[in-house]
Amino acid sequence: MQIRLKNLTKKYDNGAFKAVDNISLTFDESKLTVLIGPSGCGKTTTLKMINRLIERTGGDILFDEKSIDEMDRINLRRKIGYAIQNIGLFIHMSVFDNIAVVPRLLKWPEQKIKDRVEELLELVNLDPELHMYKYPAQLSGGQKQRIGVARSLAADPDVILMDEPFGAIDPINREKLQDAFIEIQEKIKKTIIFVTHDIREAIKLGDKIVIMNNGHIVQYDDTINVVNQPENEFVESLLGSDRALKGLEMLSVKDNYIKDFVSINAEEVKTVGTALEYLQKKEKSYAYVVGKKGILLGYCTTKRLQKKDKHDDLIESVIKTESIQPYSNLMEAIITMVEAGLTSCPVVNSKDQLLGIIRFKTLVDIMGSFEKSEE
Amino acid sequence: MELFSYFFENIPYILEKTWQHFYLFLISWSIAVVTGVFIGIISTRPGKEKIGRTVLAVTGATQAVPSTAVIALVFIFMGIGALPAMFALFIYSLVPVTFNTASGLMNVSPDMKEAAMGMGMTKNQILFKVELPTSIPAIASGIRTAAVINIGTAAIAAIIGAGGLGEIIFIGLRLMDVSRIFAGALPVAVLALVVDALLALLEKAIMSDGLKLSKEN
Repeated sequence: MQIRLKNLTKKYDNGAFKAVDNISLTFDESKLTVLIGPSGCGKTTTLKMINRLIERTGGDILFDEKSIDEMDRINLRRKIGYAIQNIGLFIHMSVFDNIAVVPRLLKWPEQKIKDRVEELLELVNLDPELHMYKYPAQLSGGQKQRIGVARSLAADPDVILMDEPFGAIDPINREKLQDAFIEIQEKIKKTIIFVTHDIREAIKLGDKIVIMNNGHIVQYDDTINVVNQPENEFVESLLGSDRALKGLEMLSVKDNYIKDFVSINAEEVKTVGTALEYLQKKEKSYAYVVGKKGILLGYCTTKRLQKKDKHDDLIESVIKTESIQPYSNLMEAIITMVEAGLTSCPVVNSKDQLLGIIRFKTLVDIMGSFEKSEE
Repeated sequence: MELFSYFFENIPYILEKTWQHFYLFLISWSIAVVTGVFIGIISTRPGKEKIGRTVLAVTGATQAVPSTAVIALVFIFMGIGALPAMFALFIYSLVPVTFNTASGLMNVSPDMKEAAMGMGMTKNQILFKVELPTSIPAIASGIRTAAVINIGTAAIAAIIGAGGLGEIIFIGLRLMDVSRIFAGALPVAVLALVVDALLALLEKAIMSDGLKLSKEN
């Protein structure tokens, strides 16, 4: 379902204060759009006008071109999933009953509700058997957030509104929840409107980003375009001085590694001497060493090999190394490389087979391209 | 035993007075519970926050008025007998029930209410499915306090001719008859303890396990 805001306005105090000032935009179907801006920018007000928790004072909101005035407020809300920062789980209800609230309001048959609750718990990675009959007081913060997300999906709504749903949680668990949520959205493909004040969260989750300030839209574009081409200084400052680094979070290793590298198969090259010859022939100062089925063992350098007797086993001269997987993002790659002091890092699949290498220089060049668009 | 002599010699009379006492309590307290919960609910509906705060302030302050003062005031306006006594007891029990209901409902987490509204519950559904069930501990404690206070105050109401166990106590006081005082006071205490225990059981039965767990945390 597509949602269109048409000259949407919310005035307070007889028009003295405009929380949302004449904004028009379209939230694309099946996309996750992030509303972001400083506190008081109107992002939450905009969100809450969509399910009429706040009534607008001007303009219109259209669901697939049908005005929300033509829909009953209560029925409208039952068709829209809603998740909030402090979750608001009903403490007197079990996990099951919490998730079942909207399906019960919609008078679904109990068996269908039960199947749905189990399905949703699996979707948010909680074992239904184990958690269905627990109460909120028996859950960890992260588990509560997951139940909050599951509850917002309960009646299979086309549209989901999320108001900083991962805001009240520690950074480590927040990252995990965000990762899990990206996977969920891959599966369900709902129209999601997501409010946050965390730019990293916005870049990580958003297909598109709406940047708001003082009740106005400052920029609305695909996430990559917002990062690459900030509209003005306000957007730049929101992105922060490290936006080049943030840009790296959107790109994955699999699109940026190279297959042009030198490797030595330890199955064939057994001694230091043959390895040295091979390196000299290739005019390289180091090479990766792989074993059976191309599994990465480490690397060797000419410097180190020259100190050894040429009849020594090559395996004993191999230096172990960090590696990274293709689905990691470039930010993770850069951290791995800086921590391990590597100028290039081998890329391996989940079976540890060497696929290629990613160069620190490549990362610096990519960052440079973000920097350039900043000027 | 000297102390129990009057008690054992007058069991039928004491039972009659106990029944009378219980009757005074039950009628005035029941009406107070219904009225108090009702006032507590209507004064805390959305948009009536001001009324809610006023109710809390008034009931909070009147809890400090001594029971004898209430009885004396009622006597001035309504005279003597069981009816004025029950009215005084009603007023006196109304205060904790109203106070606790209003404060319980006002303290329901705004997050739960926002979630409930956002999910499409009607105002009544929010009240009956969310607000009241989560306020049970507060409301129940108000109701129990009201019961205990009521039973105690009913003994004093004997001075305006209400009957009940207070009658035995006051005669005993006048005659300086310790055994008689004891025969009146003991059933009052037992009655209060039994009623409170029964209400505690009832509270436990209707309160969700989820609430018990979240109170423990």
